[in-house]
Amino acid sequence: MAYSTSSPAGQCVQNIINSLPSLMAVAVVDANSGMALASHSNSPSLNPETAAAYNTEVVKQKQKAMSALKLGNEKIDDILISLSNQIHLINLSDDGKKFIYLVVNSRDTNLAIARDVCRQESGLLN
Amino acid sequence: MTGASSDSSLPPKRPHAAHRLVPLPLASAATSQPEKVIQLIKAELPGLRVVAAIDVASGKCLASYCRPRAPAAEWVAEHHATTVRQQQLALQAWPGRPEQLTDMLIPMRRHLHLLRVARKGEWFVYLAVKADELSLALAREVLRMAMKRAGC
Repeated sequence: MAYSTSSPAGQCVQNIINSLPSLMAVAVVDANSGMALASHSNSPSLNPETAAAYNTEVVKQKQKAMSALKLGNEKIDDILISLSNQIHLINLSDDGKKFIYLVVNSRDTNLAIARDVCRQESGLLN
Repeated sequence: MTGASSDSSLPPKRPHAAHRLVPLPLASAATSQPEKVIQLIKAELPGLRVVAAIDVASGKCLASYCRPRAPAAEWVAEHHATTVRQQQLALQAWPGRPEQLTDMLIPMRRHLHLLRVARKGEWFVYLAVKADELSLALAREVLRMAMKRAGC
């Protein structure tokens, strides 16, 4: 466990664990630096902080694509990534400075449930 | 002075967004699948803004279609290819059984952007629709079915 429930990021991670006890990993990440403010993994081999660092670049790249498309009035709320057996979600806070990174097994949780849980908790990060 | 030399003094033409299909010049079996997917999606979603099949490694469009006044797919192809490559890099850092990227959904207030990777991971389809014209689930399903029907 790499979080303290006394911080908003830690509380957010704890709430997500309570809602989705079978999750694989979760982290609250600083969108600028890619560093995790709080994280938790249900498997010792999974390091959500490493994956979060890579996913920060995914967010930045998508924002560049939006600039190229001249979608300046649009905002990315979340990015939903489906893999062969997993779902990865990136949910950005309203100010875009932090994001929740959640990994679940697609057998345990569907995309809509995982997205709804993240959306509810991202309000805590503002 | 020839006509060709006077043309060369003109500024280079920017890609414009008109109804068009841009096939890859090479006529191989590998190029037919992207074109087929674009045709299937275009037939299913007449109101779509942009759809393009993009090579992951080079970021080049294999085939594309844009609605008038929509941004040309070529402009953003490289950005989206980098997004997919970045995601594939993130997956390599993930331990355990290797996972394959299937799709990425980026819903926004007014637009939905979807990226779906072909089975071998060499190219992907980028689809942009207006959020008030199509739901995310339906857009995803149309994309999934078109790629399945095209055999990729």
